[in-house]
Amino acid sequence: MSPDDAVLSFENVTKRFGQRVAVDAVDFALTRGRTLGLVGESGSGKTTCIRLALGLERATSGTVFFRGVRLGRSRRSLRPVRKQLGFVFQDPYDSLDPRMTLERIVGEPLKIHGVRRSERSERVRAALSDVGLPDAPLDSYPARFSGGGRQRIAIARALVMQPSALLCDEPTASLDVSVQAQIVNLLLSLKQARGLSMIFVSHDLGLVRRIADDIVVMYGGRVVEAGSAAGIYERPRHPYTAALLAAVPGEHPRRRRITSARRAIGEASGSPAVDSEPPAADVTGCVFAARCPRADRSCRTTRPALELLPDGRKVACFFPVGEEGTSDAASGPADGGEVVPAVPVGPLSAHMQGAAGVSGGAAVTSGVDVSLD
Amino acid sequence: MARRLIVRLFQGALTIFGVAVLTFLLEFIIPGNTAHAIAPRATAATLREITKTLHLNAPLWVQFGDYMKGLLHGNLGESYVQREPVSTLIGQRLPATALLAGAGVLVEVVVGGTLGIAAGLKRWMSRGVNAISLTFLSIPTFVLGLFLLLIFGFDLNIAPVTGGMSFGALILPALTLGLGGVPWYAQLVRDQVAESLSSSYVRTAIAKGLPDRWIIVRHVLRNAFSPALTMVGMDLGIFISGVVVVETVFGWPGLGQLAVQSLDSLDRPVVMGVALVGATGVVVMNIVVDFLRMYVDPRTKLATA
Amino acid sequence: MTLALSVDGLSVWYGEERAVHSVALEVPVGKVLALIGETGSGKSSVALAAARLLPPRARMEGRVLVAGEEMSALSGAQLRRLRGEKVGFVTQDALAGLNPVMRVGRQIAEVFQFHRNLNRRESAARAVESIEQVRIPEPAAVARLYPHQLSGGMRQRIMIAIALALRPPVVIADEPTTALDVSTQADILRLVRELCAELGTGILWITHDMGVVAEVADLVAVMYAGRIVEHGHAASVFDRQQHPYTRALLRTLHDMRAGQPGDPLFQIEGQPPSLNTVITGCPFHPRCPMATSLCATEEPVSQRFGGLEGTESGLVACHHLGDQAGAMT
Repeated sequence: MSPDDAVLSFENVTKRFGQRVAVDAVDFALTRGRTLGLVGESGSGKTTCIRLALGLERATSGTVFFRGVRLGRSRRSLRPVRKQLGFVFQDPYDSLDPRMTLERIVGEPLKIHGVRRSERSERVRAALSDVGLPDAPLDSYPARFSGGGRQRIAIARALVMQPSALLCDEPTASLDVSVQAQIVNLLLSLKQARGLSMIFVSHDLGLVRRIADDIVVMYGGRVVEAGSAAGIYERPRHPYTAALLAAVPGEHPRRRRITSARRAIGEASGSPAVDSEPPAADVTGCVFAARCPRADRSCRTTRPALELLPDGRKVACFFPVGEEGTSDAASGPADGGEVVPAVPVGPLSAHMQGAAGVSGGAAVTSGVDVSLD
Repeated sequence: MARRLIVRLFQGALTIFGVAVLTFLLEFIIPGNTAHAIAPRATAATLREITKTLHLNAPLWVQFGDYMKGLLHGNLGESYVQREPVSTLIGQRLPATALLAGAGVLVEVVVGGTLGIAAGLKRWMSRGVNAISLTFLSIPTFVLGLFLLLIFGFDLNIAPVTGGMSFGALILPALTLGLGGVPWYAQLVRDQVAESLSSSYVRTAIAKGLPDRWIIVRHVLRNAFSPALTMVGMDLGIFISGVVVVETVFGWPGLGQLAVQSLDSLDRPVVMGVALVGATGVVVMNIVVDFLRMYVDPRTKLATA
Repeated sequence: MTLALSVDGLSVWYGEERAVHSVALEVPVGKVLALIGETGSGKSSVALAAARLLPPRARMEGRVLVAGEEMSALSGAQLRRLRGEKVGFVTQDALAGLNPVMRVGRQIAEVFQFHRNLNRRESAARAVESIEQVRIPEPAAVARLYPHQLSGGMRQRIMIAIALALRPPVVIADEPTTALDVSTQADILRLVRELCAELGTGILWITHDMGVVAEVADLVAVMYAGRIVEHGHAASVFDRQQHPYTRALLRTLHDMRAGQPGDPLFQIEGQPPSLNTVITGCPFHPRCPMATSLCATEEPVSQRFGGLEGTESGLVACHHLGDQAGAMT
């Protein structure tokens, strides 16, 4: 992909809150017309990335570009960018002001960007109709709507300025299962109809698999793996990604995936304050080293760069999964020593294959190869 | 922890300095000739003499510089009127005020806390407590004081009405001071108790099969009293600087009385001294409470560390 | 089959609104029954009622038997004795569920102090054993920490340790992994299954996630609008779902795990009814692709399918039981 294709790109972006590094030298780009799944657990820095992209936070260092233009610091310079960037947040109960009517909520961006009052009502009406609420009275309040209805209103607000990109931060996480699909399908059809580029932040790996073209996996504020969605689900290369996929519940009680006494990732033993939460301050080596079954001394002292593998994947790991043997020794640091076999390998591959049988060779499960032998 | 203490002490010193500057400036805004106030019947020559000795003509910043220099050496100056070191005057009054402040806070905590707990635990009590709170809130302190004096001092003749310091004489002023604060404590504690009762951790405690009394003492009250502790600290600090109305009504020989008398006679060094003692009281109590809270509520340790 | 928990004719009201409609459930010893439902389905009310932990404004009717002992009629000291001793309870949010100003070891120890009459030192020692049992390394050190000093997964382990402290025959867990990350959830699922087998505890596990059901449940009960619409052995429910709602939930799960990327997701139209919705006929009929006029007027009663006993049997409340299994796929 050429850089011209990038709608939104992060270049070496770091964000600190006091001592804590929330986002640590992050590089990734949203390509025009594609959906980027930003995946990570709590504290991975994914939400901070969205806030940086919207100009709600300022990067401590590094630059965020929107269509090749550097995101400025002033409110004024952010305005044209915000016009082009719609956003939908997780909690539709929190993100809509209960004292504002639909017309004011959805029309607010229009007002800010100086659209004439006479034109506003019409555009609000059109936006609501696009999200499947053609009959919603403009003078009603959010309280009238259920979670799904509210999220539709939030989407209408995000799209009323006809933006070219949409940033969604877990837009369905607080919705019921039976309503979630309605919202996702709405987003997908809008995206298609308008040629939107979209970042979709989620911790739901099943959902991301279904809708993302590209995936960025974050852990402890860093990007640990990035690449095409199909590729990552088929063949995760970072041990964290592999373990994360292995922790996704299965589909049938007869084919359980989370079975053995082994831990998917392993809570850091002995240090009670951490399991999936990120390290509090700078980590000299790899952020995942403390929980990684493959880590050796070098992982704790040297930070692995996000490197491009021959298959187009980017991985920040000295010992990527599925690359055992000679290449490891070569790519590892000088004192790399022996390669430590991955602990979750056995059960993981077994489960993944088991699941593949069920799903009939779906992308998520076919050809997972994480075993050493 | 030590770092936090140093930071807090530094902040406290800054606050006290700020109070010193403000009080000093305010005193200059007060109209009136200082020399004249000191010696009302003196001749013009004497007044000039007084003005000269006390550097009353010097520019504001020179006077302030002199005062701060003294302050750094622990010297609060000398009273214009009584010709005695301010520290001595304050030293004489401080124990009385401290005693009254302590007793007042005790009344607040015991009466307010009890009412609050009762109201928080039993819904029907809540209305009664609301009525009591409203009553106390709407009565000005001096009215309450006079009222108590009338009933207990004169009609029932239980408590002594005359000034001076004795245990008996402490009762009425302490009640007056404390009852005024009771509504605040009652409401705060009631809300905290009610919130704690409906909390998830109390539900866990019930699910464990613990007796009600144990749940209330160990789970509800400790969580409910943590915010009240902050209020105790603030009150103690504020009361230390003297409670003007109560001390005046009951003739309690505390700092408040001293402050009023000194203001009357434009006795600047004494007013300054009292203000500084008050500021120090607030600052010190805040630091003490801050550290006490770390033991009562371990979460605060992390939040500001 | 020995029952750890049996609930019969359970109804719950909040004021005028009825959240639970005559629910019946059975949790055998050493088994996990997953009760699945969406917001407002009444699943949490069932959990709270079964543990006798409903808030004061709620009213309940029906029988709750714990290890054969009737719990629904008890109060005061008798109820206190059963709590902890016979029923453990695990909340969704362990941070809120643990007392923030008490060390976690103490929070476990008080259970032993009251139910076993142990002194402070003895009960503290038992608390450390309880912490060890939920596979926390260095249990003695962890016992001295406060909840906020622990990670989400560790806190939920402590909640489980409290619930299991006295080895009760049944534990009621209200969405115990919903607030956790995927990897932590996997750890907890594994732990609970191991402990359940090890101690023979019966578990009533409330969830909204069919994936969690697939991983943890021996039995499933599906709730919709305050009613149980399907109840049976997990494997057989997953194999041959009878109720259209169950079918839709499973199809959603399958779609997430195996659907073609880029295709629209499988979606159920409409919204689950809220508490104050007046329901006539089958509560699912407005959203059901199989609904007929009968469904709109008459509420279906639970029918048994697959014989009377065994792992292939179950209960389902649908007028079109056995009409066509693959109607929605």
